[in-house]
Amino acid sequence: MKKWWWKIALALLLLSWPLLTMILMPDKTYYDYVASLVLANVCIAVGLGILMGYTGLVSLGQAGFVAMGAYTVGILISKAGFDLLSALLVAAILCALTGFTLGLTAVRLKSTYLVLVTLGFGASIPHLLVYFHDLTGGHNGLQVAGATLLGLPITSGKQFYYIILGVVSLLVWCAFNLTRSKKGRTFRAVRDSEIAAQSLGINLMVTRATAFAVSAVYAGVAGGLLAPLLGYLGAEDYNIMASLNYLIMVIIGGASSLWGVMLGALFFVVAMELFSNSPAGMTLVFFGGAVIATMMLLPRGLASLPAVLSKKRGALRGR
Amino acid sequence: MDFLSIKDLGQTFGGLAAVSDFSLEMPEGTVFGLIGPNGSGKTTVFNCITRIYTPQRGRISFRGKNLLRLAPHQIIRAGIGRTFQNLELFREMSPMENLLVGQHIKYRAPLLSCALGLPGLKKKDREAQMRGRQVMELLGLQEYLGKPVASMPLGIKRKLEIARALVASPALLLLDEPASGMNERETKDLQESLLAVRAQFGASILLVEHDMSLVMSLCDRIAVMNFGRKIAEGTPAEVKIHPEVVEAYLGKGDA
Repeated sequence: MKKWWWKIALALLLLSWPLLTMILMPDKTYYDYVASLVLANVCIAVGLGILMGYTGLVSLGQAGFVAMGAYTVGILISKAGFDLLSALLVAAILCALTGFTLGLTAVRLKSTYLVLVTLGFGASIPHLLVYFHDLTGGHNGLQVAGATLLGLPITSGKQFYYIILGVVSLLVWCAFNLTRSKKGRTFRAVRDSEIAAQSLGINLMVTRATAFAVSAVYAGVAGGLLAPLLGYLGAEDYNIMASLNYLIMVIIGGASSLWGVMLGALFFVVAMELFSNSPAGMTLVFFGGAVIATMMLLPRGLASLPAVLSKKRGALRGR
Repeated sequence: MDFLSIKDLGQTFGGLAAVSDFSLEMPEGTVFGLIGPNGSGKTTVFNCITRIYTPQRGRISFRGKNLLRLAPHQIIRAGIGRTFQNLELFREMSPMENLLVGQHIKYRAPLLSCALGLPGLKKKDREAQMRGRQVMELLGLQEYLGKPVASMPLGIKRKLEIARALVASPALLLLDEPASGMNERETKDLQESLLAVRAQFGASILLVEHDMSLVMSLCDRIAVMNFGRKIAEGTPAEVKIHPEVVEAYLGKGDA
C-alpha cells in the first residue's frame, strides 16, 4: 500500500512541476529546463542500466547514440520539416540498427575489449559530425528551430517538459515491462552464465546485440527530445566525457535496478547544476569521490540504500 | 535411426591429447555411464557434444543430425540438455526464474511484446511457471521455490540444475558429475530423483560420475575412459571385473 502512495505522489509531482515553478518562480524557466534535463538523462540511464545491470555489458559510447538521435531529429525538424514524433521514430530506428550492429561486432569480445569498441564508436561520432559539416553544421553547430507536435508548434519550455515527460514515461514503463519479461530474463541469463544460457538455447550474439540496440534507442530518443529544447547542437558536447557521465549515473544509482539508475540520473543532473558555478575541475573531483564512495559503501548503488539501512537498523536492534 | 553416435572423436589441447579415437553408440532410452579417473577426458567429450569445443577429428551425430554443424545454442533444440560439473546456475535469479530460462526454446517472446507487456505473453509465462512447479515437485524442490539460489545447499543446487535442463524436455540429458561434492544421503536422494526423472520424462541420460555406487546402480551400460581413450564398455557387471578398468582405478579406492 505504501508503495502505491509513493508512486502516485511522484506522478503528481512530475505532472504539476511546471505549475509549481510558475507559481513559485513566475519569471524563471530554468527549473522547467532542469526537470526536462533530468528526464532525458533518466531515459539514457535506464537504457544503459538495461545494458550494464541486466545484460552485464559496459558501454563507453552512449554519447554517440545520444548525438545520433539529437542530430537526426535536429536535421529532420529544421531542414526537412518533420514533425517531432516522426523525427523521433526515425532517430529510434537509426539508433536501433546502429546499436544492433555495434553489438554484433562486439559479441566475441568481452569486458575490456568490448569497452574499447564502444569507446572507439563514441569517440568517432563527434569527428564524423564535423566531417559531414554540410549536413550537421560542423564546428558552427546546428540550429534546431520550428519543432512541431502533430502539426502544432511547440513554443514554451513547459510544453517541451510535458512532451519529454510523456515520451520518457512511456519508455520507462516499457523498460519495466521488458526487465520483467522473458527477454529481460534472457538478458540476465547471459550476464550470470554464458555457458548455461547457451546450453538452454539462448543465442549470445543476438541477445547482446538486442540489449545494445535497446540501450541505443533509449539514448537516441533522449538526444532527440533534447535537440529542440536546447535549440543548438554542438558536436563537442557528445564526447567521451559525456559517455562517462552516463556511466557515473548508472554506477552511483545501482546498475541492476531501474529505480536506482533513475535516482542516479536525478542525483547527477542536480549536482551538476549545483556545481555549475564552481571551478571546472571540482565537479570531476566530486563525482570521482561520489563513485568511489558508492563502490565502497553501497556496491549496488543508491538503489540498495533502503535495504542497507534497514539491515543496519535490524543489527542494532539485535544487539 | 541412431540416437547418439560418436565416431573417432579426437581433441588435443596444446599437444596434449584430451580425447583420442573415442567412439560410442548410445541407444535411446538408456542410462549410459561414462566413467574414468580425473583428467581422462570425460568432460571434454561432453563439451564436444554440446559444441563448447569443436573437436579436431571425428563425428558426432544425434538422431541422424550432424551436431558438429550446429552452434552451441542450437544443441538444446536438437534435443540435448545438460548440467555442469562446476554449477552454472543463474545466481542472481530465483529458482523459478532459473526454470523459466530453462524453457527458453518453448515459446517466443518478441522484443516489442515484452516491452509492451502484452497479455498473451504473460499467459505463456504463467504456463511456464506451472511446468516449472511440476518439475520442482518431481525433484522434491518445492520448499526452495522462494529461496535465493546462492543460499541453497549444494545438493539442492545440483538438482535445480537438473530441473532447469529438464523443463526444456530434452530427449537426452547430459549430467556432468551430478553427485560430486555430495554426501551419502544426498547421493541416495539424487539417485531416487534420477529414477523418477527417467520414469516421468523418459529421457535418456548420459552420466559422467565418480561415485561408483551411483553409476553401478543407475546405468544400463557403462563406458570407461582413461588417458582420453575408451578402455572398456559393457554392463555394470562386465565393467566391474574388466582387468584394464581395475588397473585404472587401482589405488584410487573407488572400485
